[in-house]
Amino acid sequence: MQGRVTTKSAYRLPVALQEPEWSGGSMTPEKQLILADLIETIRQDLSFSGYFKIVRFDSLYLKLMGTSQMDRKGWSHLGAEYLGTGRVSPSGDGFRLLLKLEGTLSGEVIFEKSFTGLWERSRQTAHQVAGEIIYYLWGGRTLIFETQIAATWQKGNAKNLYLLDYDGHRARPITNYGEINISPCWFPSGDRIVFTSYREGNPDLWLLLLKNNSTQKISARPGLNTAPAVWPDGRYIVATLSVDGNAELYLLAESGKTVRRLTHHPAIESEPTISPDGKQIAFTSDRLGQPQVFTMDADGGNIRRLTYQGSYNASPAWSPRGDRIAYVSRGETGTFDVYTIAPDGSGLARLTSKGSNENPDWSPDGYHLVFSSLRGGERNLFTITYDGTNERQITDGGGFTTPAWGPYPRP
Amino acid sequence: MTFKLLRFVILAAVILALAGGCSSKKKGVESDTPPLTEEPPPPPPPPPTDESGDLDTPADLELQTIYFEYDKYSLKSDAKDALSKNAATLGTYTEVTVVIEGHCDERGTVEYNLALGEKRARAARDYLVDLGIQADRIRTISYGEERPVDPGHAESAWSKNRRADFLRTDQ
Repeated sequence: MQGRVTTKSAYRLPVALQEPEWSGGSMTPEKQLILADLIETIRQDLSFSGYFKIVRFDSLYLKLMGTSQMDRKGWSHLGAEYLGTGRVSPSGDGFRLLLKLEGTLSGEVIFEKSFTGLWERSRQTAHQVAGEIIYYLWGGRTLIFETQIAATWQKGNAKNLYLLDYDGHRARPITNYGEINISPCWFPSGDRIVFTSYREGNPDLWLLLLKNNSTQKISARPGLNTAPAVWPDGRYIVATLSVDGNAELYLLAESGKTVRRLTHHPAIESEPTISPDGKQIAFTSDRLGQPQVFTMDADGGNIRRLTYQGSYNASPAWSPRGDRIAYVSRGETGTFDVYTIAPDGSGLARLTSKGSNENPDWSPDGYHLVFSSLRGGERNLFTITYDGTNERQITDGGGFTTPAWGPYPRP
Repeated sequence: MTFKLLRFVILAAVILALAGGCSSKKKGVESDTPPLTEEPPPPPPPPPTDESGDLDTPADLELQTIYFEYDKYSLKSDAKDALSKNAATLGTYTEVTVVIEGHCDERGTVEYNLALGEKRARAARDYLVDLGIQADRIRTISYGEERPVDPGHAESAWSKNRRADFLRTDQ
């Protein structure tokens, strides 16, 4: 089961995680920081999931109660229904975390498990622990905390692709070419990405294998080779080419060979996104004078206008659940916000209201979105739950664009 | 006729500039041998002269940038004026080839703006071709919103960034 996300209630289970005790002799400041980060990462994961509210330690409580130690009852008074307490000890080159999860009122032990990890990979351990807590308290397995986001990060004049953990941590480069590298799109296998690079001067499509970051040019036709979208089964790519004189959508093999031209119109057609059943494609076109989102059948027929509200609607992203299409719309103040709409045009919902927001993309469970947002003069990545709650800034320092949320890791 | 006159004016300007004393450039003009690859960065080789053989292209030949309205690729009248001047220059220096770079401001999506930038570059190219410039002397490329001249987030920056730049490719 891939995440228990069929329904979402406003209720968030209040849970507390106490700082674990260290039993292993002397402690370096570095390891102390790692341990603090480990626990905080678990809290952030639980909070991100949308199922939990994190109850925080409150020193005032201890003062009021005239005690020096938080206990089960104390956490219950602060509102927590479940409490995690732990002990960390050295284990080989890493550490072992023994974690007990119990009900604060009943004292019922939900689980008592040990997790081992390496110091330099402590965040992965934290994601596993969070996944276990969700499994025991909500009954569904989720691998969302082990997913990654590919995005462009500008440093100086170069825009390179980076991989980030789902929470924006551990940004690491996967291209290093100078010039412009944008618009990554994952294959469902999670082992490769197609993207647009100017490394040879023209915006061309390249394929990147993540196991060694090797690349291969797949479309360098004159003009645009941009906006790739990978077919849900990984067999094809839909991309924007202007080789025939104007930006049109084409169906390509993974090798870049043209399978079929999909659109025929003198206006701009770009930003394709494919429904998870592979039957429809949504895209942006300015055929009515301004950019609007349209849908069409997978063979290019039966084109229908999807968006009607607003004069600039673009950047559609079809939810992996199939029932919503996210896109951005320009408001009266000139800034862009993320909206979602059903593929039949019903149920328009606005998700963001701050900054100017672009390039939404869905998490593999269809429960969250990542997007780039210009706020305070910097463009950073944010995540948000599909209903517009739980908005989180996941990068700092600016320069982040065109995020793409990767699939679940393969076992 | 106007091209001839313009040629003369530019030639005069070039002579004045050279008289200002750039010996290496003069040397380059006199020599027809290709530079040896072992040598330190050579001065730019002299551009080949056209058949009438009377004029070299100045290195700093000026081609004007044109500007666009938001989310538009139609040519405004001032853009057409600038393109007419660029066409005159290209008509004079027939060995010059250019790439037209289409650019957008940041307000819009990355991928749509790549297509919009291409529309702008091609609108400029088509206008030059209509004015008699050979299409094979002009290449186009779009940078979308990726290469702003002004990184600001206000109209003062945006108006400068919605542009088509003309860069020589024969040098």
